[in-house]
Amino acid sequence: MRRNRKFLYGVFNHPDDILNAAYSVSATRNQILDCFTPFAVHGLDRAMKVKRSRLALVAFLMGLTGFTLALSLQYYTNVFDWPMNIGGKPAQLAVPTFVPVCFELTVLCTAYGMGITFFLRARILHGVRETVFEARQSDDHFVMCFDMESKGLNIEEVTGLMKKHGAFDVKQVEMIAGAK
Amino acid sequence: MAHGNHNIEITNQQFEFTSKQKMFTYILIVLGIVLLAAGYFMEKSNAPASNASEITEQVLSSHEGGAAEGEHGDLVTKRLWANLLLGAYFTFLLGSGGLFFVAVKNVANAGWHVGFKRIPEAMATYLPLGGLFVVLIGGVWGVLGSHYYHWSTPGIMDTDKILNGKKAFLNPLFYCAGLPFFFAIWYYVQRKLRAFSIAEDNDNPNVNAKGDIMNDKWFNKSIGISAFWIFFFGFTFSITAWLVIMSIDAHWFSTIFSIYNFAVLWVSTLSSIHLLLIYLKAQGYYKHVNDEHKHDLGKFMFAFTVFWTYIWLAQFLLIWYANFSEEVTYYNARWTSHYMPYFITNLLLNFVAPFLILMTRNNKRNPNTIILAAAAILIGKWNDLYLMIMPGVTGDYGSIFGAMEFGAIFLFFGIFLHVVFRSLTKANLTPVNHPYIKESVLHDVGV
Repeated sequence: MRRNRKFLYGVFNHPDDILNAAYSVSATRNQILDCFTPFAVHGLDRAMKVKRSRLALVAFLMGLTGFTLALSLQYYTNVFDWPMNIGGKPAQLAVPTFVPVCFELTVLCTAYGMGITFFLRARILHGVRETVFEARQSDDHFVMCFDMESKGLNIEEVTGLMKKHGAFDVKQVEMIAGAK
Repeated sequence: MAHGNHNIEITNQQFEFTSKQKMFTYILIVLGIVLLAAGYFMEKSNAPASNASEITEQVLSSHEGGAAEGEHGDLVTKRLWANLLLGAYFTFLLGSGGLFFVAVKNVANAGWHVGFKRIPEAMATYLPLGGLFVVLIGGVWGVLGSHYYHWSTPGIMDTDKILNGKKAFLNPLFYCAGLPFFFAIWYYVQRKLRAFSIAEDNDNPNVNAKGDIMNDKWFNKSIGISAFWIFFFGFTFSITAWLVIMSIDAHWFSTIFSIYNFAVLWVSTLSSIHLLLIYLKAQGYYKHVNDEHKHDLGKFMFAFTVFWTYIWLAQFLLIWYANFSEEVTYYNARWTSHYMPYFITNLLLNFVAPFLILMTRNNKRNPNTIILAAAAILIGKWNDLYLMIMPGVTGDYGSIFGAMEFGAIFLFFGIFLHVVFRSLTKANLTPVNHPYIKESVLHDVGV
């Protein structure tokens, strides 16, 4: 169900500030929900203690799907259903001729599967409104955001830490996640 | 990694070529020579004379151009020559690969590799010696001395129409004067890049308030010459591969051959850099080079393993599919022959093993699995070169491997390692004043 949720967020001026804030907040028991930055800040994922993405596993499985698909398609058409003599090549299993199609379909399925999975998981979909806490989070400001319903969030401690590391604005907001 | 990452301590160390390491390289060299001699004389006394006529017959009937011809040296000596050529060419590839690594990174404005940049630089210092070996063994001995290349046999151009058509390219002058000329230019570029890099170490780094090195004079100088060399290398390396390796089977040609050789060069160079890096780290050097750099090198190895396979298949598939008799003899001599085990091993070691080993993230960051993959790649590339050279020189005779094969590879790797270690001692292990050294130390591939 979509309902209003309460968020706490701090706005920073400089990537180094949000990086340092992320390090010190992660050292406490408070959990950062997410950080919004106009560009990739190196080391921020590590500082936030983000878990490793399982996208690589998805890629592997998608690749395997594509490979199996290509192999079975070629086997069915060229060996099982309608064997043809092309250039005198062995009719049973002309492995080298199967390679390019297997390669292409593996790449195709991996690329599309990985891309689509990523978009689904990251909720970058048509019709989904982006989460905007601070209008300039996509321009020149850096936003660190907390879910106020998360367990053990010490609002005072987090506010203090963010301010200490240069957050010029700390606010609470109530909104539907994913829409303003 | 601590936060406040502005104050990076870059500790420079000086590599020490210990007597133990020196002894190791000497033992490799001596062992190589002993094995070569032992293998040679053992094979000689086994006298493949009865063997030779059979092979000559078979080879001639299969219209295999460059193979055994009886009158020009016996098979055992040819095999010795082929092994020496392989060793010289393989280590020469590693040398030029080191230079290519440095040049490509310069042109790409890359920073991540700067921490261990002195390893490929040291590998590149083998270039003049490696080029000399290739020219001496291939040109002076193979072309001028014994005519081990089929096309260099006196009088062949009058009787062989196909070779006559390639006369402008396949001639002793081009081989023995052209190659040294190209290598001299490579050597010049290597000297320049090395000199710039060392001059940078001794120059004022001009550090600004944030701790960044602002003096990029030497780095900027090396970009232009690197760009020129990559362009030049593309053409001249192709010619080198055609002359030294492809002309063994002078009737046959493959338009992708030079890229294929480049793939061999690049994958084995990356593996060697990685192995040297792991070794030096185990010796206590390169403290600032960490899993992040190794991860990227591992990715490189993984990617170019697939590249090699792609090129290998591109060459194989077209020839196999078209089935033209003048092209397919090449694979006849390598697949449907006594070389079949090598052919299978080639794919297993160069594609299957490294592809599976290097697939996961953890394996790319773990030195043990990297050593495993790099060993598979280097042995596989030796095997690949063996398949390129040996069937064309000795026919089926070379399909059983012996002491000579080990000897040649020990000898040349002994020399190569000696040169690399010696060059490592001659400069700081870390280019401390490189404008990208900080970026390299902070390099992070993410979670």
